[in-house]
Amino acid sequence: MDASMWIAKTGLDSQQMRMSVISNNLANVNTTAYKRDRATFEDMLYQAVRLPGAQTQGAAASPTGLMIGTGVRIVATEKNYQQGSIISTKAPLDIAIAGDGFFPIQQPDGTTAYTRDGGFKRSSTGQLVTASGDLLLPAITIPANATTLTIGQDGSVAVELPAGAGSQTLGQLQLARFVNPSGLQSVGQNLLRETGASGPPQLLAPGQGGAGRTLQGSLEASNVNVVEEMVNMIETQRAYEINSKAVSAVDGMLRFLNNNL
Amino acid sequence: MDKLIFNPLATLREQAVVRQAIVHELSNVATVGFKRSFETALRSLKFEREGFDTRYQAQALYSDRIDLKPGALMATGRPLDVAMVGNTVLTVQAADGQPAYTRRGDLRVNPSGQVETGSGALVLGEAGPLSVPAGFDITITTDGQVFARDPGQVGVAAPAAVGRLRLRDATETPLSRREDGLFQVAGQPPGAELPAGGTTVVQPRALEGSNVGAVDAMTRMIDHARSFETQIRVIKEMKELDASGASMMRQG
Repeated sequence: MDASMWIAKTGLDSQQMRMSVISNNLANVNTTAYKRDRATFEDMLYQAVRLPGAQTQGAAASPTGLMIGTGVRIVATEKNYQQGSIISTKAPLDIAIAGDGFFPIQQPDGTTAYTRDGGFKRSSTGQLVTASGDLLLPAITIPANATTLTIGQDGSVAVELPAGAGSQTLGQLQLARFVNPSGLQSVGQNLLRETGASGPPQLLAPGQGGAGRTLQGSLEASNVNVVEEMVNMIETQRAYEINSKAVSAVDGMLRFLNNNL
Repeated sequence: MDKLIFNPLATLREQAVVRQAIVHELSNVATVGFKRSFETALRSLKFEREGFDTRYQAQALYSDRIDLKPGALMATGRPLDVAMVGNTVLTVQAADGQPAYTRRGDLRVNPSGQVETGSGALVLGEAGPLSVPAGFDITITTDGQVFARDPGQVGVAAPAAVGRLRLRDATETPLSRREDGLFQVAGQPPGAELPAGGTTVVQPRALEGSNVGAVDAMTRMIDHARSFETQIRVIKEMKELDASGASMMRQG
């Protein structure tokens, strides 16, 4: 069949996939510390119909070749790690990261995942866990009789003990930084995993070596810009329509051919 | 059979490639930094042979020069996005190791610290592939200078220059397409470089959209479809003419 129909199909496919990326961004507009994705397009390989330097008339050679494109594809989706706005929640176990870095989270299979979602809870054993119950690393256990808990901007965790027993420092939080955070793999549940592209994590105390500071009593909002996503959605929708028009135009030509010959 | 039937066939065949090119442009209506490059015209070719005096067949003339007309500018706020202004092009290293040009400005840092475009081509600085220190904050100025700042440094951290994008001005030199979609200097062997100098400006924190005009391309598509139908009509007329001739000569 005609190659142009397949070219238009690549356009439809890519716009469809971009729409999924945009819908996912819009669906996560209220997800804590969600980072928006962007679909990256690339024109596909070109076919050489005539190579540059081919003989045309006599000794004359064509100065340029003729390259016909074969469509478009999505090469990557890339996360934008722009800081989301900080929302004050006053909950003592909510920790936002102002700046770079991720909280290391222990996974049930023993590996470590990373998140920026700092909405931690206390488990039955007094340890700090995520909303889905995974342990924050390094493990910090809050004594059962502690009254107030304070987390400093440098990640130090301290509790006030009852009846004038003074305060006790429980430990210090750590943040992981990556050379290429866009290379992290999203696995859902606000978690990200290290890949070959992200590079190994560099564990730092908050506020040191480029890691952000930890803000107690706050959460980081999603960095999805609704207006921008809406504009992207309109653009995608129209681009999709244009490609489907191209399919129907070629289809019309072939129908005309069949009906008249 | 009358040889006239091959005239519309020649036109159809010559125009097939045009259809592919228009649809390719339409499918890249949202590709960052995409530039349209294909222009075509038909010329008539006279057949100088006995009995062919009325035969003029169409032959397509193509030109495959990159049209650097700017696309829409989209402010993204991402520090590594640059949009090239005017006829500025960015030098990258193609997969075959040769320098080539692009208008894609969605740059990123790969795990080994080198800067690459969104489609994975290494970005060249004035002194070879551009590398930035791992984990540093990057800023790019309007003249293509790349600065890196250590986010861990306490106090006022001065941004250090780490290189300069190899930006070239393509006002005087036409560019043509490579098979991987990057641009090369037209009429020169692959890998030929544009001379330095001229005005090269980039707009940081923005991206350039595709310069395919949807209205323009759709109109050309309609025009092409109608021309296709006309040719089919001529073939059909010839078929009927030939059939009536054959039935007239039938005996009995």
